[in-house]
Amino acid sequence: MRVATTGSFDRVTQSLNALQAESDALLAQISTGKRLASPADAPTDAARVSAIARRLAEHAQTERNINTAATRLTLGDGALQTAGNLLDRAREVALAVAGDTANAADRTSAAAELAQLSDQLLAAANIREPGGSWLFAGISGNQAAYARDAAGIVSWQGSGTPPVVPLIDGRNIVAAEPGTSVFEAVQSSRGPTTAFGAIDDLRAALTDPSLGDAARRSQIDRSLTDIERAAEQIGNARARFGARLAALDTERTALAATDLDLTVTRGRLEDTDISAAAVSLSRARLLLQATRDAFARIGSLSLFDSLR
Amino acid sequence: MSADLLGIGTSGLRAARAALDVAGGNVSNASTPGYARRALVQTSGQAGAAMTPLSRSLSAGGGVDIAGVRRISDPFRNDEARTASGEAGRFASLQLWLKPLEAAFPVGDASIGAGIGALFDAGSAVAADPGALAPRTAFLAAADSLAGRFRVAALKLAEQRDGVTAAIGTLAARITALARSIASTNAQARQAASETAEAATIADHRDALLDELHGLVAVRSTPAIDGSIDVRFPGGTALVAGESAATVVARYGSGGVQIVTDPYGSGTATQSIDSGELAGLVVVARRSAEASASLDQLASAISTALNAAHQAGSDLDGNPGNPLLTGSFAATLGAALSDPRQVAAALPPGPNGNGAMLALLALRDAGFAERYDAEVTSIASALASARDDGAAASSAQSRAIAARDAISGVNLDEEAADILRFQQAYQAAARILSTARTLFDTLLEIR
Repeated sequence: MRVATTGSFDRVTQSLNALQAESDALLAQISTGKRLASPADAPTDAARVSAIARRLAEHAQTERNINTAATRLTLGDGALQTAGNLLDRAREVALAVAGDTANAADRTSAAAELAQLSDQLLAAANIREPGGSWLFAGISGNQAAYARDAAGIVSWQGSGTPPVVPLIDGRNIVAAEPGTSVFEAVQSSRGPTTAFGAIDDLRAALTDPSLGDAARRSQIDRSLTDIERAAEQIGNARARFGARLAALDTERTALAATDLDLTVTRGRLEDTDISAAAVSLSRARLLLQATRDAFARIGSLSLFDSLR
Repeated sequence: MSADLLGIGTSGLRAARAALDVAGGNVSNASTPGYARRALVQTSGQAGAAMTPLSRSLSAGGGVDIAGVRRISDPFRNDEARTASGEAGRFASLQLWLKPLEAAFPVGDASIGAGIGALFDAGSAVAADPGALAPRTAFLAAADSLAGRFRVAALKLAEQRDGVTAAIGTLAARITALARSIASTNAQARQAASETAEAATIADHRDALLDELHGLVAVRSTPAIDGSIDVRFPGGTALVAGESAATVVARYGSGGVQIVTDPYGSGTATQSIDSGELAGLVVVARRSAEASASLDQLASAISTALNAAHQAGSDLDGNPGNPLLTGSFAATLGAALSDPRQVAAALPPGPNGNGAMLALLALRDAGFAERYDAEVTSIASALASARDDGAAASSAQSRAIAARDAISGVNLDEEAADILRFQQAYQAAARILSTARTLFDTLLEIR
């Protein structure tokens, strides 16, 4: 076949351009570490990569929510532990002055300590999380969970149940409980009372001058039972908080495992296979050099050189 | 007899000289677009018809006649090369203009899909601690950023559409200009005698015009008996008929862009323009109009759904939720709120809890981000196949051009050999003249 001279020049230019473009693309893949310069390089892979990236971001947020929930549960658990200790201390104080040897002065100082314990219990029940919400106020996180009225009665100010913390795929976790299910509904022989009520009753028994020894004794005994029950109820709540913390750990572990899978998959989809790319690059460079050399030789040959 | 030998020698000199001119022309036009190599057409000279019958031998030859200059060109190969150029041109313009369309849709962390995910993630943080202000601020920032991404994409899409519109206009004008030039070469071709250098030059010029035209738009050119060429669109609409050329413009209507001939007269719409750069541009124009519409639909769907969910809630002050986003087109989307207390996370009457935000988070499954990804994938796939098909079309074009040039292209080595050959022929003819003179002198010296 006849070959037009311009045509053969054009073809060499084309292959030089193609090889140069190829080695540029490979160089970019190696230097950026990414196989896909734009979605058009692999449309379906690119779509999967962005879906995975979104999922990973969702996971990261879920992990932050898990931390929020865990902080809340840990804070709540700490407050409940304090409350338990306070109730224990109240029992000790009561037992010390329950006997016949205690005199009126002992009972007065015990009552003073009980008043302080009651305030401390109120403070524990009014714990706030870092965001400022009252943890035991149910849904009404914007106000104190408990308040003492003019008559000295401590009552719950909240309402409803606390907001759930969203995890992932529509799953939520309950990261707090309303104060009512923790500090209240203590079954007493006088009907339901609260942890605060139990301490306040005890204090009343110690300070009421109208009570005879026997009546005071029986009222102290009853309050001790109430305090014990309140402590037991708080212990149960702590167990529930602990179980939720454990559930969060499981959730976190599962997320981390999925994260790893997703990250590996994403890497396979979008990362440059450096060794393969390096080999291709050497190949493209070699071809480029060879084409240049060959063209320099062949292109310089012309019959016109021989015309004298 | 010797006078006759002089005549033969002279005709040989003339022919060799003309052949050298032709070869020289071939060499100098080796890379001229449309140029087809030429060859001198020679015929052996007639014996007889000489002025001096006495000195004439009828059995001797009569020298060489120059019959003309032939342009060596194969219409079939030309057509094949033009068809291949049209295909290559279509994919080239597809690639050129789909690239900015693809780039108008950001990908990675800056993508609209990632922005949608980030808004829901920020909403999830609000739900986790509805009483805190920091997550609410971040949520409003995420809404603002998402709206901003929509606006930037809409802006880039508009730029791309403007670019395509301008390119279509330029092409239509160029096609009109080419059609006019072809019509005027038709007029020249009708008057030029065949197998002359003039005819060949006209044909070169016209072939260059036709080559360019076929690369721009799908047309069919048919040679007429008078030497002119008719050019028609595939649907039959005439672009060049004899010495008249149609005007081509692009018209934009509800059905997208249409290529119309004779816009100030009957205004005929051309059918099935399926090759050439214009065909690629028409496809991209349609594709980017679709992409704009789909981005607007997505913006409107997101804004409607998010606003409905947000307005169903109550803010931190117990007020009913306001719309979260303003505007219902990608270009006009904006964040409506700036006060974090106005994030309506609570179910009415509020202000506590996260019921409304949990309902809003359920919209994550409404598939907005997936719709965005699907749009990106669809454009990316179009670009990817334009690249693949373009590579195939461009190598088919190279082959077709090589096949055409095998007939009509100039090979410099071949021309160098010809030059050598004709140079020798010239020298030989000169020798004939000197021999004739010697013979004549011999004759004169007879006493």
